[in-house]
Amino acid sequence: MLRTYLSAVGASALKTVRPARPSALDEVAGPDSPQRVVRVRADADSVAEFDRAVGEPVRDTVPVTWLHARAFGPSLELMSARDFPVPVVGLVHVRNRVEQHAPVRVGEEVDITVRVREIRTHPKGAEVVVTARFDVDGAARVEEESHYLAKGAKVDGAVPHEPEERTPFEAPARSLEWRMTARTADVYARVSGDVNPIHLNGLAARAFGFRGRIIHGMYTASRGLAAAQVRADSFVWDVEFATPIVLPARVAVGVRHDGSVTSVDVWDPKRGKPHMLSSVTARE
Amino acid sequence: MSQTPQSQSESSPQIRRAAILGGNRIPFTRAHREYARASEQDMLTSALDGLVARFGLAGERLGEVAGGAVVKHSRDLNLTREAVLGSALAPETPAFDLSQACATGLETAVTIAQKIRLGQIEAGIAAGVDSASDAPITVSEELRAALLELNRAKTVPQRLKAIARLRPTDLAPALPSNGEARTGLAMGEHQAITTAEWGIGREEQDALALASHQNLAAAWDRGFFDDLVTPYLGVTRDTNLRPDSTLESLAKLKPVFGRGLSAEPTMTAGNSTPLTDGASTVLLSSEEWAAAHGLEPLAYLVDAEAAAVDFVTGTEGLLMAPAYAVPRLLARNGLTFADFDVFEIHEAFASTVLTHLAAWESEEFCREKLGLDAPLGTIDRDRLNPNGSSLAAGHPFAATGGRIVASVAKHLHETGGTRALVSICAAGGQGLTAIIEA
Repeated sequence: MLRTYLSAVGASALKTVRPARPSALDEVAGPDSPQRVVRVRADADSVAEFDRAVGEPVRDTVPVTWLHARAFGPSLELMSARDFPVPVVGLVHVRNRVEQHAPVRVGEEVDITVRVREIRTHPKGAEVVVTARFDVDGAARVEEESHYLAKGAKVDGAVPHEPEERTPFEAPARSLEWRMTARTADVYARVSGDVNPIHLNGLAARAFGFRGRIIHGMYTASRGLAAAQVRADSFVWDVEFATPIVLPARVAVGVRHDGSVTSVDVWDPKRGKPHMLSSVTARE
Repeated sequence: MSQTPQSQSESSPQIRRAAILGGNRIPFTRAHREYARASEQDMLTSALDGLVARFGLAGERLGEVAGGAVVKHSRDLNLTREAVLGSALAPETPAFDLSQACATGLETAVTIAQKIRLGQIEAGIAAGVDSASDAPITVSEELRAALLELNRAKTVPQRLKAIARLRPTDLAPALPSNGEARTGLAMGEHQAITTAEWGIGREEQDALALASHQNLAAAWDRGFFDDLVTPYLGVTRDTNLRPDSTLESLAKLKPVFGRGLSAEPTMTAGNSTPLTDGASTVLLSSEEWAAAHGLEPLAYLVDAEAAAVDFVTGTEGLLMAPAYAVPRLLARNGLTFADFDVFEIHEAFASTVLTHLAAWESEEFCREKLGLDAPLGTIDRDRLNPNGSSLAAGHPFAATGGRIVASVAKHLHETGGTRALVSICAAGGQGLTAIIEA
């Protein structure tokens, strides 16, 4: 993955010199764009290490967050394509939606299909929508949609899109407190393979305008999904990322159950600003 | 006033009464003071030996000894058995450890009592110990994982890979955390939320703390603990006890919990229990065994009820489980508060006791949470913790149950009272309550 990042950095740097051709948008996004297909085995040790890093119980099923981590590398490769219109370095993960039809089980072979579904307009730049499908024996078990924001980017031919309203946030009662240190990011980088320098290196993080290393958004999300303790085989999980968490941090977490919906919100207890809002809707 | 239900004894004629014959504990001390260099096993052995001496049990084989500690070294897997082996009891006395956070001590008494009631044993000891001083220190998760990986590695590259992930910070030792495992919040922070929700004020918390110190001091002064406590390492009284505490001195203390909440913080070091070292034991037996040994029962452990609440999502406060256990226990035994002469409610924090009292007085809580037609009622403060409780004595987690059971049994016997209610809240959103009758 480090190599993927290095080439991504290279591809991004190149774009400042030689912008992508505007006419080539449908070659990098949409139904006719290339897709990445990889096969991974849900290795018991790898899944268990991931489980323990994010607070999931080690069991026979694979958390969708482990699957996300396997699809992340291929999605980076797609977004590093020569004609990709925005630099992949600096993309901000803003939303994520996962639909699980049935859980992947430990030991199963998973066929992952990743594609850039579209690049659309966003009030703050351009939004890249990446989809991933996780099949076992030809049947989709899990489908995912990840939204990344390229701040300040203008992409000709971007699909016009009315932005979703940000969920208004008022800090609920705190039910949990999570502490995160730089080592939390090291460990998550190891188990997820996401070695983006903004999570691992203070200088790199500052270069991108952060006050210091920030935790992986998907770490916070994964831990939130674990805290929701949803045990339904089929569910939809929505995540909205707000402000990043600068390390080390102590964040407030609220978990609420309302019928089939469990929401997990993470915020800064000092400022009352949200870091992540999420909900899991069980289907049964 | 109704009696213990008869149905059980009708269907199972062999159920008998479990007598509380007495107890022995060492004085409780604040952490990192007099007992700082004693292990839990040392303290438990000493408390057991004091009990053995008091009741002439040297060389005797008892049915079973149940004990436990909340904060425990991993090597102490057989803590109670090791303490028995080091005590004057016959080495043929079996023992086991159990664990239910701060309810551990009471649960050992309940478990030994049930074995006696069922005729499985004739006599047994319930015990508990905790040291906040001699705490287990562990290595970081990263170092632990790397060392285990190293242990599993078969080749040199595998070994190198296992070590390569380590960073200097991983070498820092890890101390036991006082945070709830699932929420990461300290127990005091959980209670601060409950305290604020119930609007429990600073003055009433300080008043309860003061009463605890005054009652415990008075009990010591009149010799109440002379046959309940054996000195240890030069300590003859509970060292957390402040007989000269006043409302003014308590009012000067700064709040330590709930400072991040919107409500005014009210919980101080004065109205919260300190980290404490100590051990306690209780001797229980059948009436036949007591008679054969010429011992007069102080009281009987009649029934117990545990409860748990969903504190993780904030549906209920962490320490509110006893508020649910008590009404179920009363209903099963056909009793009301009026049937009790004394109430021993463990003072984890002054506000814990006060929220339980408020909950039982609240029509809304009793109707909506407990499903009752009317509030359980008010507990007369003169009957509450008459010989002091954890705010004054300190709270060596697993030793608190034994302190309460032995003290309240003696209190009933001494005052001619007939019935006592014991209630202990515990980490994990749990609570254990029991009825003790003369």
